[in-house]
Amino acid sequence: MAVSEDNENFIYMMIGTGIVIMLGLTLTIIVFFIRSQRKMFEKQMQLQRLELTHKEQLLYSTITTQEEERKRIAKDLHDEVGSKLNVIHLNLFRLKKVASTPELATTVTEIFTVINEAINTTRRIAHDLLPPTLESFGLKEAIKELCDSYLNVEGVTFRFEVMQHEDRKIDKVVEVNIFRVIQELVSNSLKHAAASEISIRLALSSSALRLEYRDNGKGFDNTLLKRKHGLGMYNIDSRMSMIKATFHLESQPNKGVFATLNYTFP
Amino acid sequence: MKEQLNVILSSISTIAEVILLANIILYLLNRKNLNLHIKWFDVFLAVSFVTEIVAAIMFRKKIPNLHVLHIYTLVEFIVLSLFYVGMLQKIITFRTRRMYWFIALVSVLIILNSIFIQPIDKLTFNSYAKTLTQVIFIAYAIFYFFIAPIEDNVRSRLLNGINSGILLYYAGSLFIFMGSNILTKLDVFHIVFWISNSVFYLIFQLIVFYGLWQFQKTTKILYT
Repeated sequence: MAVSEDNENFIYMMIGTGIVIMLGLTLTIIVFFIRSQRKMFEKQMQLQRLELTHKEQLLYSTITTQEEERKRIAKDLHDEVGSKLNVIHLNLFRLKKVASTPELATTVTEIFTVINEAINTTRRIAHDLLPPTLESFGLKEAIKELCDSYLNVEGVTFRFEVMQHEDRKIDKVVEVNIFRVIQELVSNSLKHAAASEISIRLALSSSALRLEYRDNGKGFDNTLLKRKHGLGMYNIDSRMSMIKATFHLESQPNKGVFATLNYTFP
Repeated sequence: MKEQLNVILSSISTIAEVILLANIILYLLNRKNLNLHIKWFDVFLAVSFVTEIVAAIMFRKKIPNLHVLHIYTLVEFIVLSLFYVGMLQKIITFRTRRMYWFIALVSVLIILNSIFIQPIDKLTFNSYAKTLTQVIFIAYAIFYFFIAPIEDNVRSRLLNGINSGILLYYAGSLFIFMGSNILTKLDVFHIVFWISNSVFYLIFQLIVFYGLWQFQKTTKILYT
Protein backbone atom coordinates (compact mmCIF):
# COMPACT_ATOMS: atom_id res chain seq x y z
CA MET A 1 0.00 0.00 0.00
CA ALA A 2 1.51 3.32 -1.13
CA VAL A 3 1.59 6.24 1.26
CA SER A 4 0.93 9.74 -0.04
CA GLU A 5 3.62 12.41 0.40
CA ASP A 6 1.45 14.38 2.86
CA ASN A 7 0.85 11.30 4.98
CA GLU A 8 4.52 10.42 4.76
CA ASN A 9 5.52 13.84 6.08
CA PHE A 10 2.90 13.57 8.81
CA ILE A 11 4.27 10.17 9.89
CA TYR A 12 7.85 11.50 9.91
CA MET A 13 6.75 14.49 11.94
CA MET A 14 4.80 12.36 14.42
CA ILE A 15 7.63 9.91 14.97
CA GLY A 16 10.23 12.70 15.08
CA THR A 17 8.19 14.67 17.61
CA GLY A 18 7.66 11.52 19.67
CA ILE A 19 11.40 10.87 19.76
CA VAL A 20 12.18 14.47 20.77
CA ILE A 21 9.53 14.48 23.52
CA MET A 22 10.66 11.11 24.89
CA LEU A 23 14.31 12.18 24.85
CA GLY A 24 13.45 15.47 26.52
CA LEU A 25 11.48 13.70 29.23
CA THR A 26 14.23 11.11 29.72
CA LEU A 27 16.96 13.72 30.04
CA THR A 28 14.80 15.73 32.47
CA ILE A 29 14.23 12.62 34.61
CA ILE A 30 17.94 11.70 34.59
CA VAL A 31 19.09 15.24 35.44
CA PHE A 32 16.39 15.52 38.14
CA PHE A 33 17.43 12.14 39.57
CA ILE A 34 21.15 12.98 39.62
CA ARG A 35 20.55 16.38 41.22
CA SER A 36 18.11 15.13 43.85
CA GLN A 37 20.37 12.15 44.65
CA ARG A 38 23.32 14.48 45.11
CA LYS A 39 21.27 16.82 47.31
CA MET A 40 19.95 13.96 49.44
CA PHE A 41 23.42 12.43 49.70
CA GLU A 42 24.87 15.76 50.85
CA LYS A 43 22.05 16.08 53.41
CA GLN A 44 22.69 12.54 54.60
CA MET A 45 26.41 13.23 54.92
CA GLN A 46 25.72 16.45 56.80
CA LEU A 47 23.41 14.55 59.16
CA GLN A 48 26.05 11.88 59.69
CA ARG A 49 28.69 14.55 60.38
CA LEU A 50 26.36 16.18 62.91
CA GLU A 51 25.70 12.82 64.57
CA LEU A 52 29.42 12.13 64.72
CA THR A 53 30.16 15.54 66.20
CA HIS A 54 27.39 15.03 68.74
CA LYS A 55 28.75 11.59 69.70
CA GLU A 56 32.27 13.03 69.99
CA GLN A 57 31.05 15.85 72.19
CA LEU A 58 29.13 13.39 74.33
CA LEU A 59 32.23 11.25 74.69
CA TYR A 60 34.45 14.24 75.49
CA SER A 61 32.02 15.50 78.11
CA THR A 62 31.91 11.97 79.62
CA ILE A 63 35.70 11.90 79.86
CA THR A 64 35.82 15.44 81.25
CA THR A 65 33.09 14.67 83.80
CA GLN A 66 34.90 11.47 84.75
CA GLU A 67 38.11 13.41 85.35
CA GLU A 68 36.33 16.11 87.33
CA GLU A 69 34.55 13.49 89.40
CA ARG A 70 37.85 11.69 90.10
CA LYS A 71 39.37 14.99 91.14
CA ARG A 72 36.42 15.74 93.45
CA ILE A 73 36.47 12.25 95.02
CA ALA A 74 40.26 12.43 95.47
CA LYS A 75 39.93 15.84 97.14
CA ASP A 76 37.06 14.69 99.39
CA LEU A 77 38.95 11.55 100.36
CA HIS A 78 42.03 13.55 101.20
CA ASP A 79 40.40 16.53 102.88
CA GLU A 80 37.34 15.01 104.52
CA VAL A 81 37.91 11.29 105.16
CA GLY A 82 41.69 11.59 105.49
CA SER A 83 41.60 14.48 107.97
CA LYS A 84 38.89 12.80 110.06
CA LEU A 85 40.90 9.58 110.18
CA ASN A 86 43.89 11.64 111.30
CA VAL A 87 41.81 13.15 114.11
CA ILE A 88 40.75 9.65 115.19
CA HIS A 89 44.39 8.59 115.00
CA LEU A 90 45.44 11.50 117.24
CA ASN A 91 42.68 10.85 119.78
CA LEU A 92 43.54 7.16 119.88
CA PHE A 93 47.12 8.15 120.64
CA ARG A 94 45.85 10.19 123.59
CA LEU A 95 43.54 7.36 124.67
CA LYS A 96 46.41 4.89 124.56
CA LYS A 97 48.38 7.08 126.97
CA VAL A 98 45.58 7.10 129.55
CA ALA A 99 44.46 3.49 129.08
CA SER A 100 43.75 2.15 132.59
CA THR A 101 43.69 -1.59 131.88
CA PRO A 102 45.96 -3.77 129.71
CA GLU A 103 42.85 -5.04 127.81
CA LEU A 104 41.94 -1.50 126.85
CA ALA A 105 45.54 -0.78 125.75
CA THR A 106 45.51 -3.91 123.53
CA THR A 107 42.18 -2.93 121.97
CA VAL A 108 43.42 0.61 121.30
CA THR A 109 46.57 -0.79 119.65
CA GLU A 110 44.44 -2.99 117.41
CA ILE A 111 42.27 0.01 116.42
CA PHE A 112 45.53 1.91 115.80
CA THR A 113 46.62 -0.67 113.26
CA VAL A 114 43.25 -0.57 111.46
CA ILE A 115 43.20 3.23 111.42
CA ASN A 116 46.74 3.34 110.02
CA GLU A 117 45.70 0.95 107.27
CA ALA A 118 42.60 3.05 106.55
CA ILE A 119 44.71 6.23 106.35
CA ASN A 120 47.18 4.58 103.95
CA THR A 121 44.43 3.11 101.81
CA THR A 122 42.60 6.45 101.61
CA ARG A 123 45.83 8.18 100.62
CA ARG A 124 46.57 5.54 97.96
CA ILE A 125 43.06 5.69 96.45
CA ALA A 126 43.14 9.50 96.38
CA HIS A 127 46.57 9.36 94.77
CA ASP A 128 45.48 6.85 92.15
CA LEU A 129 42.42 8.87 91.31
CA LEU A 130 44.47 11.97 90.61
CA PRO A 131 48.20 12.02 91.33
CA PRO A 132 48.95 15.32 93.07
CA THR A 133 52.31 15.32 91.29
CA LEU A 134 50.51 15.61 87.95
CA GLU A 135 48.52 18.56 89.22
CA SER A 136 51.48 20.30 90.83
CA PHE A 137 54.56 19.34 88.81
CA GLY A 138 53.26 18.16 85.45
CA LEU A 139 53.44 15.09 83.19
CA LYS A 140 57.19 14.43 83.35
CA GLU A 141 57.28 14.19 87.15
CA ALA A 142 54.02 12.22 87.26
CA ILE A 143 55.43 9.56 84.88
CA LYS A 144 58.62 9.46 86.94
CA GLU A 145 56.59 8.97 90.09
CA LEU A 146 54.52 6.26 88.39
CA CYS A 147 57.73 4.40 87.45
CA ASP A 148 59.14 4.87 90.98
CA SER A 149 55.98 3.43 92.52
CA TYR A 150 56.94 0.06 90.97
CA LEU A 151 60.51 0.15 92.33
CA ASN A 152 59.62 -2.27 95.10
CA VAL A 153 57.68 -4.63 92.84
CA GLU A 154 59.79 -7.67 92.22
CA GLY A 155 60.54 -8.77 88.66
CA VAL A 156 59.63 -5.51 86.92
CA THR A 157 62.13 -2.96 85.65
CA PHE A 158 61.05 0.48 84.53
CA ARG A 159 63.11 2.80 82.38
CA PHE A 160 62.01 6.37 81.84
CA GLU A 161 63.88 8.69 79.52
CA VAL A 162 63.10 12.33 78.77
CA MET A 163 64.42 14.25 75.80
CA GLN A 164 63.52 17.85 76.16
CA HIS A 165 64.71 20.55 73.80
CA GLU A 166 62.67 23.38 75.23
CA ASP A 167 60.65 23.85 78.37
CA ARG A 168 57.13 24.02 77.14
CA LYS A 169 54.01 24.28 79.25
CA ILE A 170 51.52 21.54 78.46
CA ASP A 171 47.80 22.00 78.86
CA LYS A 172 46.41 20.26 81.96
CA VAL A 173 43.73 18.38 79.98
CA VAL A 174 46.37 17.06 77.57
CA GLU A 175 48.62 16.03 80.46
CA VAL A 176 45.85 14.17 82.28
CA ASN A 177 44.78 12.29 79.14
CA ILE A 178 48.33 11.29 78.19
CA PHE A 179 48.95 10.17 81.75
CA ARG A 180 45.77 8.04 81.71
CA VAL A 181 46.95 6.38 78.49
CA ILE A 182 50.30 5.56 80.13
CA GLN A 183 48.48 4.18 83.19
CA GLU A 184 46.34 1.99 80.90
CA LEU A 185 49.40 0.73 79.00
CA VAL A 186 51.33 -0.05 82.21
CA SER A 187 48.32 -1.82 83.67
CA ASN A 188 47.97 -3.95 80.50
CA SER A 189 51.71 -4.77 80.43
CA LEU A 190 51.65 -5.99 84.02
CA LYS A 191 48.21 -7.59 84.19
CA HIS A 192 47.87 -9.28 80.80
CA ALA A 193 51.27 -9.32 79.12
CA ALA A 194 53.34 -10.33 82.19
CA ALA A 195 56.07 -7.94 81.08
CA SER A 196 59.31 -7.69 83.07
CA GLU A 197 60.73 -4.63 81.30
CA ILE A 198 58.89 -1.46 80.49
CA SER A 199 60.50 1.55 78.92
CA ILE A 200 58.91 4.96 78.42
CA ARG A 201 60.52 7.66 76.34
CA LEU A 202 59.16 11.17 76.30
CA ALA A 203 60.43 13.64 73.70
CA LEU A 204 59.39 17.26 74.01
CA SER A 205 60.07 20.00 71.53
CA SER A 206 58.63 23.48 71.15
CA SER A 207 56.00 22.25 68.72
CA ALA A 208 55.28 18.62 69.58
CA LEU A 209 55.29 15.86 72.13
CA ARG A 210 56.16 12.26 71.31
CA LEU A 211 55.82 9.36 73.67
CA GLU A 212 57.24 5.90 73.00
CA TYR A 213 56.17 2.98 75.11
CA ARG A 214 57.71 -0.47 74.90
CA ASP A 215 57.37 -3.68 76.90
CA ASN A 216 58.78 -7.18 76.58
CA GLY A 217 55.54 -8.99 77.42
CA LYS A 218 53.56 -11.69 75.65
CA GLY A 219 52.37 -9.38 72.91
CA PHE A 220 49.44 -10.26 70.65
CA ASP A 221 48.39 -10.57 67.03
CA ASN A 222 48.11 -7.07 65.60
CA THR A 223 45.27 -8.07 63.27
CA LEU A 224 43.12 -8.98 66.27
CA LEU A 225 43.43 -5.42 67.51
CA LYS A 226 42.26 -4.07 64.17
CA ARG A 227 39.24 -6.35 64.22
CA LYS A 228 38.20 -5.95 67.82
CA HIS A 229 38.80 -3.07 70.21
CA GLY A 230 38.66 -3.77 73.94
CA LEU A 231 37.39 -1.25 76.48
CA GLY A 232 40.94 -0.11 77.24
CA MET A 233 41.78 0.59 73.60
CA TYR A 234 38.43 2.30 73.14
CA ASN A 235 39.24 4.49 76.12
CA ILE A 236 42.68 5.33 74.70
CA ASP A 237 41.21 6.14 71.27
CA SER A 238 38.57 8.40 72.80
CA ARG A 239 41.12 10.29 74.87
CA MET A 240 43.44 10.69 71.89
CA SER A 241 40.63 11.91 69.71
CA MET A 242 39.64 14.38 72.41
CA ILE A 243 43.06 16.03 72.59
CA LYS A 244 43.62 15.54 68.83
CA ALA A 245 46.66 13.33 69.28
CA THR A 246 47.55 10.21 67.30
CA PHE A 247 48.17 6.85 68.87
CA HIS A 248 49.66 3.82 67.20
CA LEU A 249 50.18 0.40 68.69
CA GLU A 250 52.16 -2.48 67.23
CA SER A 251 52.57 -5.94 68.58
CA GLN A 252 53.43 -9.50 67.66
CA PRO A 253 53.02 -12.66 69.72
CA ASN A 254 55.99 -13.03 72.13
CA LYS A 255 57.57 -9.81 70.89
CA GLY A 256 56.03 -7.33 73.29
CA VAL A 257 54.27 -4.10 72.51
CA PHE A 258 55.49 -0.87 70.97
CA ALA A 259 53.22 2.14 71.14
CA THR A 260 53.71 5.71 69.99
CA LEU A 261 51.75 8.79 70.86
CA ASN A 262 52.16 12.04 68.96
CA TYR A 263 50.73 15.35 69.97
CA THR A 264 51.27 18.66 68.22
CA PHE A 265 50.88 21.77 70.32
CA PRO A 266 48.24 24.14 68.99
CA MET B 1 21.53 8.45 -1.00
CA LYS B 2 20.10 5.15 0.23
CA GLU B 3 23.51 3.50 0.07
CA GLN B 4 25.16 6.36 1.91
CA LEU B 5 22.55 6.20 4.65
CA ASN B 6 22.97 2.42 4.86
CA VAL B 7 26.75 2.85 5.19
CA ILE B 8 26.23 5.32 8.07
CA LEU B 9 23.74 2.93 9.69
CA SER B 10 26.02 -0.08 9.38
CA SER B 11 29.07 1.91 10.60
CA ILE B 12 27.27 3.09 13.76
CA SER B 13 25.91 -0.42 14.33
CA THR B 14 29.40 -1.90 13.98
CA ILE B 15 30.85 0.60 16.48
CA ALA B 16 28.00 -0.22 18.88
CA GLU B 17 28.71 -3.94 18.47
CA VAL B 18 32.40 -3.40 19.24
CA ILE B 19 31.51 -1.45 22.40
CA LEU B 20 29.01 -4.17 23.30
CA LEU B 21 31.74 -6.79 22.96
CA ALA B 22 34.06 -4.63 25.09
CA ASN B 23 31.29 -4.41 27.71
CA ILE B 24 30.94 -8.19 27.78
CA ILE B 25 34.72 -8.56 28.25
CA LEU B 26 34.77 -5.89 30.97
CA TYR B 27 31.81 -7.56 32.65
CA LEU B 28 33.54 -10.94 32.60
CA LEU B 29 36.75 -9.41 33.99
CA ASN B 30 34.81 -7.84 36.88
CA ARG B 31 32.30 -10.63 37.35
CA LYS B 32 33.66 -11.52 40.79
CA ASN B 33 33.37 -7.98 42.16
CA LEU B 34 30.11 -7.20 40.41
CA ASN B 35 28.64 -10.33 42.05
CA LEU B 36 24.95 -11.11 42.17
CA HIS B 37 23.92 -7.49 42.55
CA ILE B 38 23.58 -7.03 38.82
CA LYS B 39 23.10 -10.61 37.71
CA TRP B 40 21.28 -11.11 34.41
CA PHE B 41 22.79 -7.96 32.91
CA ASP B 42 25.66 -10.04 31.55
CA VAL B 43 23.12 -12.39 29.99
CA PHE B 44 21.36 -9.39 28.47
CA LEU B 45 24.63 -8.14 26.96
CA ALA B 46 25.49 -11.61 25.63
CA VAL B 47 22.00 -12.11 24.12
CA SER B 48 22.19 -8.66 22.49
CA PHE B 49 25.60 -9.44 21.02
CA VAL B 50 24.60 -12.85 19.65
CA THR B 51 21.40 -11.35 18.17
CA GLU B 52 23.35 -8.50 16.52
CA ILE B 53 25.82 -10.97 14.98
CA VAL B 54 23.11 -13.36 13.74
CA ALA B 55 21.07 -10.46 12.32
CA ALA B 56 24.15 -9.00 10.59
CA ILE B 57 25.10 -12.36 9.04
CA MET B 58 21.53 -12.90 7.81
CA PHE B 59 21.44 -9.35 6.42
CA ARG B 60 24.68 -9.89 4.50
CA LYS B 61 23.42 -13.20 3.14
CA LYS B 62 20.22 -11.43 2.17
CA ILE B 63 18.12 -13.68 4.41
CA PRO B 64 15.17 -11.86 6.04
CA ASN B 65 16.09 -11.33 9.70
CA LEU B 66 12.85 -10.08 11.23
CA HIS B 67 12.31 -13.48 12.86
CA VAL B 68 15.32 -12.71 15.01
CA LEU B 69 13.64 -9.54 16.32
CA HIS B 70 10.55 -11.53 17.36
CA ILE B 71 12.65 -13.99 19.36
CA TYR B 72 14.94 -11.26 20.70
CA THR B 73 11.96 -9.22 21.98
CA LEU B 74 10.83 -12.16 24.12
CA VAL B 75 14.31 -13.06 25.45
CA GLU B 76 15.20 -9.39 26.01
CA PHE B 77 11.99 -8.85 27.99
CA ILE B 78 12.54 -11.89 30.22
CA VAL B 79 16.24 -11.19 30.87
CA LEU B 80 15.89 -7.45 31.53
CA SER B 81 12.85 -8.08 33.75
CA LEU B 82 14.82 -10.61 35.80
CA PHE B 83 17.68 -8.08 36.01
CA TYR B 84 15.31 -5.47 37.45
CA VAL B 85 13.66 -7.99 39.80
CA GLY B 86 17.12 -8.84 41.18
CA MET B 87 18.11 -5.19 41.46
CA LEU B 88 14.86 -4.02 43.06
CA GLN B 89 14.90 -6.94 45.50
CA LYS B 90 18.04 -5.47 47.05
CA ILE B 91 16.26 -2.19 47.73
CA ILE B 92 12.61 -2.95 48.56
CA THR B 93 10.56 -5.89 49.71
CA PHE B 94 7.93 -7.09 47.28
CA ARG B 95 6.31 -10.35 46.30
CA THR B 96 8.65 -11.74 43.65
CA ARG B 97 6.10 -14.41 42.75
CA ARG B 98 3.73 -11.68 41.48
CA MET B 99 6.56 -10.23 39.43
CA TYR B 100 7.29 -13.66 37.91
CA TRP B 101 3.59 -14.04 37.04
CA PHE B 102 3.70 -10.62 35.39
CA ILE B 103 6.79 -11.60 33.36
CA ALA B 104 5.07 -14.86 32.33
CA LEU B 105 1.88 -13.03 31.33
CA VAL B 106 3.68 -10.46 29.17
CA SER B 107 5.79 -13.25 27.62
CA VAL B 108 2.59 -15.08 26.63
CA LEU B 109 1.26 -11.85 25.10
CA ILE B 110 4.49 -11.43 23.11
CA ILE B 111 4.23 -15.02 21.83
CA LEU B 112 0.52 -14.63 20.98
CA ASN B 113 1.32 -11.41 19.12
CA SER B 114 4.00 -13.21 17.09
CA ILE B 115 1.58 -16.05 16.26
CA PHE B 116 -1.73 -14.30 15.62
CA ILE B 117 -1.52 -10.50 15.41
CA GLN B 118 1.84 -9.76 13.79
CA PRO B 119 2.85 -13.26 12.64
CA ILE B 120 6.51 -14.13 12.65
CA ASP B 121 6.27 -15.81 9.23
CA LYS B 122 4.69 -12.72 7.55
CA LEU B 123 7.95 -10.78 7.90
CA THR B 124 6.43 -7.89 9.83
CA PHE B 125 7.83 -6.01 12.80
CA ASN B 126 6.35 -7.10 16.13
CA SER B 127 5.71 -3.43 16.86
CA TYR B 128 2.94 -4.07 19.42
CA ALA B 129 5.06 -6.43 21.49
CA LYS B 130 8.12 -4.20 21.10
CA THR B 131 6.17 -1.10 22.20
CA LEU B 132 4.70 -2.93 25.19
CA THR B 133 8.10 -4.22 26.36
CA GLN B 134 9.74 -0.82 25.83
CA VAL B 135 7.06 0.92 27.90
CA ILE B 136 7.63 -1.69 30.63
CA PHE B 137 11.42 -1.11 30.53
CA ILE B 138 10.87 2.66 30.78
CA ALA B 139 8.59 2.05 33.78
CA TYR B 140 11.20 -0.20 35.43
CA ALA B 141 13.91 2.44 34.92
CA ILE B 142 11.79 5.32 36.26
CA PHE B 143 10.68 3.21 39.23
CA TYR B 144 14.31 2.37 39.98
CA PHE B 145 15.19 6.07 39.95
CA PHE B 146 12.43 6.72 42.49
CA ILE B 147 13.62 4.11 44.95
CA ALA B 148 17.36 4.11 44.24
CA PRO B 149 19.36 4.08 47.49
CA ILE B 150 21.09 7.34 48.39
CA GLU B 151 24.69 6.27 47.95
CA ASP B 152 27.76 7.57 46.23
CA ASN B 153 30.02 4.69 45.44
CA VAL B 154 31.32 3.00 42.32
CA ARG B 155 28.65 0.26 42.36
CA SER B 156 25.72 2.67 42.71
CA ARG B 157 27.20 4.88 39.99
CA LEU B 158 27.43 1.85 37.67
CA LEU B 159 23.82 0.84 38.40
CA ASN B 160 22.59 4.41 37.90
CA GLY B 161 24.54 4.54 34.62
CA ILE B 162 23.06 1.27 33.36
CA ASN B 163 19.58 2.44 34.35
CA SER B 164 20.07 5.82 32.64
CA GLY B 165 21.31 4.03 29.50
CA ILE B 166 18.29 1.72 29.48
CA LEU B 167 15.89 4.65 29.96
CA LEU B 168 17.58 6.73 27.27
CA TYR B 169 17.69 3.95 24.67
CA TYR B 170 14.20 2.53 25.14
CA ALA B 171 12.55 5.95 25.46
CA GLY B 172 14.44 7.28 22.45
CA SER B 173 13.59 4.33 20.24
CA LEU B 174 10.02 3.83 21.48
CA PHE B 175 8.37 5.75 18.63
CA ILE B 176 10.72 4.24 16.03
CA PHE B 177 9.64 0.67 16.86
CA MET B 178 6.05 1.80 17.38
CA GLY B 179 5.95 3.03 13.78
CA SER B 180 8.36 0.43 12.37
CA ASN B 181 5.76 -1.28 10.17
CA ILE B 182 4.72 2.05 8.62
CA LEU B 183 8.33 3.26 8.29
CA THR B 184 9.28 0.34 6.02
CA LYS B 185 6.60 1.48 3.57
CA LEU B 186 8.04 5.00 3.32
CA ASP B 187 10.83 6.34 1.11
CA VAL B 188 14.55 6.11 1.80
CA PHE B 189 14.44 8.87 4.42
CA HIS B 190 13.06 6.43 7.00
CA ILE B 191 16.61 5.04 7.39
CA VAL B 192 17.39 8.23 9.33
CA PHE B 193 15.16 6.88 12.12
CA TRP B 194 17.06 3.60 12.17
CA ILE B 195 20.29 5.60 12.30
CA SER B 196 18.84 7.47 15.32
CA ASN B 197 17.99 4.11 16.88
CA SER B 198 21.60 2.97 16.36
CA VAL B 199 22.91 6.21 17.84
CA PHE B 200 20.72 5.73 20.97
CA TYR B 201 21.95 2.17 21.24
CA LEU B 202 25.56 3.33 20.85
CA ILE B 203 25.04 5.93 23.61
CA PHE B 204 23.51 3.21 25.83
CA GLN B 205 26.52 0.95 25.28
CA LEU B 206 28.96 3.83 25.83
CA ILE B 207 27.29 4.70 29.16
CA VAL B 208 27.55 1.04 30.25
CA PHE B 209 31.17 0.95 29.05
CA TYR B 210 32.05 4.09 31.04
CA GLY B 211 30.37 2.66 34.15
CA LEU B 212 32.17 -0.69 33.87
CA TRP B 213 35.48 1.01 33.08
CA GLN B 214 35.21 3.24 36.16
CA PHE B 215 34.17 0.22 38.23
CA GLN B 216 37.20 -1.77 37.09
CA LYS B 217 39.56 1.15 37.68
CA THR B 218 38.30 1.76 41.21
CA THR B 219 38.16 -1.89 42.27
CA LYS B 220 41.68 -2.37 40.91
CA ILE B 221 42.90 0.43 43.18
CA LEU B 222 40.90 -0.95 46.11
CA TYR B 223 42.18 -4.51 45.77
CA THR B 224 45.84 -3.77 45.02
